[in-house]
Amino acid sequence: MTAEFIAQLKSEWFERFNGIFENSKTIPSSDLKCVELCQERCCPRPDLRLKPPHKVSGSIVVLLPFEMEYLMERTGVARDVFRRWPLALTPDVTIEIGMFDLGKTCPFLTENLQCSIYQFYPLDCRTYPLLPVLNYRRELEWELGSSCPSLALLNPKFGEAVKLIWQELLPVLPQAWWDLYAFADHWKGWPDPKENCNAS
Amino acid sequence: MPLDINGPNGAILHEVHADDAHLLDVACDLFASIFPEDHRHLSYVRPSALGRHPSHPNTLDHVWVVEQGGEWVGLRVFSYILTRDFGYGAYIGFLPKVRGQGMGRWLVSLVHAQLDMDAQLFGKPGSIGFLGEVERPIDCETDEERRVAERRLQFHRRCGAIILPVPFIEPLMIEGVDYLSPEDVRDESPRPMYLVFNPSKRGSEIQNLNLVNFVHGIYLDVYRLPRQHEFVRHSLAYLLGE
Repeated sequence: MTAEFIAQLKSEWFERFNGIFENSKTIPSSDLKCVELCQERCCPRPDLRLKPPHKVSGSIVVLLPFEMEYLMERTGVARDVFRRWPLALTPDVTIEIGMFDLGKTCPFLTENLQCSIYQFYPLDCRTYPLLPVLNYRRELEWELGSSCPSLALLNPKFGEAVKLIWQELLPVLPQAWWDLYAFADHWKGWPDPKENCNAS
Repeated sequence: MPLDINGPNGAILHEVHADDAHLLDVACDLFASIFPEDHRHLSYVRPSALGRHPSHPNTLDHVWVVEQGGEWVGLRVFSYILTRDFGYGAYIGFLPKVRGQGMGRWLVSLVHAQLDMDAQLFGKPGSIGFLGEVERPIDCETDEERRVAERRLQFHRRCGAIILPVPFIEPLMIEGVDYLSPEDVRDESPRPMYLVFNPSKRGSEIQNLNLVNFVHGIYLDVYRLPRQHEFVRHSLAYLLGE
């Protein structure tokens, strides 16, 4: 029963991802100059570990439910490239949410800072520098990633289209996922938590 | 700097000391009234009012009660963990008639201030915040229980708490205490809970929380579990990839 329930959820989320990527073809360009201007803060990668934490804001990617499985299926990457957190949906059903951080850096970033899976790249990456926040009335609010160097170029029509995607996801995103998303503001994943394990 | 004990709508904070029999009774009555489901843990209140108790070797404990308009309306039991730079909030609760007045946030700010003073007393620069355990609404059996659990969780979110993504099982009792025995809790089972962290101003500036430190702080230092206890390993399993 549990396995069937998870399979059903996974199937529903895969359909949503297919829809998002299909519709993305019609989303206006963000007009951001990521490749030209963003050499510092976007995409979690090993050299960011050398920087002080306050210099690497925006370097955590939180995947949606089953987005990790979707990426695994589409790209062939293994599960262990992701930081994984448990998300309990019921007392008996726990799924895993994938994340990239400075301990589990993005495996899809090429040496010249290009995204190798642009066709399927995560909604969290796709949305940046817009940052969704769920308020106490369970309404979406939006913040801007202030460290984005091409923020001033952001196309408002892109913003409207992305916000609509999130608005449609809102009813199916569990509160616990939003709690994880909020936690990610306080997490870098480096140094490796294993290094802390025997220290205290 | 002493705490400002004056809160919303004439509320006044009182610290309960072990030698004040009247206030201790007030605290116990509030505990029984606000946390009836935890009645077996009422015995935790009195030793906590001592500040330092041999059964709590790693914590400096506080019991506070809140008075408003001549009535006792709120209770807070919390500790500074001597071996860490954060605290542990065991219980916070108010009578229903005073909810919605901002009492919770007021008390949280006072707890942060007290923990800062405690940390400095023990040679730390300050406190980064405090941990707490909150019921998971998904574990509730009835709609009413779920509604209460969601309200409690939302209260913590509104007070600035971060829900930590580590799986957490609440132990039945602190190991080795002299005021409660395993026999007293034989009908209870350890429950999955949310482990939440309420950061102080200092803590909110930390961009990389040390989850291992939190898990060890609450399990090893507060509950006094051994490092290899299954609950500790379960909590850290995702984090350490085990």
